[in-house]
Amino acid sequence: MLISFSQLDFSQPDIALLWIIRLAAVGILIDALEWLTIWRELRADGAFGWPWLRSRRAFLQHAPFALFFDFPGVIGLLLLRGSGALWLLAEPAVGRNVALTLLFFTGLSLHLRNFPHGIDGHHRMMLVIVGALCLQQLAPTSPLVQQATLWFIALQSVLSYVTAGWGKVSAPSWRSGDGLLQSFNTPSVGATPMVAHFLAQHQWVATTCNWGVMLIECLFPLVLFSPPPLALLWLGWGLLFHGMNAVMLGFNKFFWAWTATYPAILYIVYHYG
Amino acid sequence: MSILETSIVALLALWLLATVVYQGFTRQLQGITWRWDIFRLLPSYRLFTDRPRDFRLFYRDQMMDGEMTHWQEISLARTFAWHHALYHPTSAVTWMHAALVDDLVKRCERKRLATEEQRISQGFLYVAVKRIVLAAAPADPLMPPGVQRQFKLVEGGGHLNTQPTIVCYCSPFFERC
Repeated sequence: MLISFSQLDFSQPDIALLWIIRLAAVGILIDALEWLTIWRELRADGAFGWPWLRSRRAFLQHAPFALFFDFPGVIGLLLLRGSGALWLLAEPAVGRNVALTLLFFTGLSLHLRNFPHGIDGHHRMMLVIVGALCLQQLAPTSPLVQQATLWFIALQSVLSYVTAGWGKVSAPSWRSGDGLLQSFNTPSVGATPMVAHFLAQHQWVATTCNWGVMLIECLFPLVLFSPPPLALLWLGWGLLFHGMNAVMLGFNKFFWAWTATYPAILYIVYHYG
Repeated sequence: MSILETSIVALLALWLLATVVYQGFTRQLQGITWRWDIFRLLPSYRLFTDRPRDFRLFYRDQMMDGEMTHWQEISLARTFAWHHALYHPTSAVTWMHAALVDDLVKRCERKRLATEEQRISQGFLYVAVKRIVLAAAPADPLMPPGVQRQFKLVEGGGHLNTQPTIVCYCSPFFERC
């Protein structure tokens, strides 16, 4: 996949949509491969065994659900999902709408199967992105629909940051400056103890990063009104933020889910700026 | 603007509006979305806003003669490795276990009366945690397998031991069958 300079002209809706598809496809492919790696957990006696998961809701007891949600049907579902992502990354001239539809319906299926404890924040954002892209494919040559799709994805991205930021501002632990330290102090969140000890010994770093995250998340909507150089700084922060979370906490798929929304933001900045 | 274009734009606008409303009224709308939004098309973006608590899961076995083993821990900690920034397949399982324990503790904390104990032990969360515990190895490999097992949920102080350990919930003994 060679990248020419023209493929970085985000003022063009086609280019922005192409990059959203590429980045989302990488995240979805990684997710599918991870699930396939832990395939034993999808068996009846595994952590995500269907006989147990279906007990959450009465309607899930019906036999047709077992066809795709029980083992080995769920493996087929994941293989389809991975194949759809690979197809999109290969960027053939045809079949994009089919691949996106496949990703959307497999995404819906996995949500239905695994919610709530097997669905994470990145799954939700990916479903939103893929759903919007599917709708756009119903009228692929319509400039209006392209713009609406890009606005939708950009606003969902901005909304996610504002909601997370405001949620932190509303939380006493984050307002006191301890939220970040408490997160890194919790073994189930995933950071190595070294980070917690470092932050505890350098309180000013913890407090600065704590308030920095809250402030930038709450002010993130400003990216849509920023001139391109400033917008790139905002998104650079986002890349750093999600990259650090991937490295320090293992939240690898969050990186792809949220950076997949950045081309939509760049389109708005460059097209309307 | 054709009918198809209008429909697509309207659908996107409606989806966005519903998402915005859901962010503002998540708790009030959770009952409705749990029942009707079965595919979870309305995401909640309140991620990592609650104070994370260091919950830990322990279990022990009881022998036929009544003797009990020491408490053994089922680790809920996510392991750290550099390659996890790119590929982290085991995170789903540990994250799920931690989320189940977290939700069960909060369910128990909401319990007001002793009579609710039965409702807790029949609930999905309790059954899910019990399933995790039953899948664990014998608490003491040097002793014969126990006939009954019990688990407890404990809150610790994390890597920094910022608070003393508190027992949040202790289950009754159940059969190891």
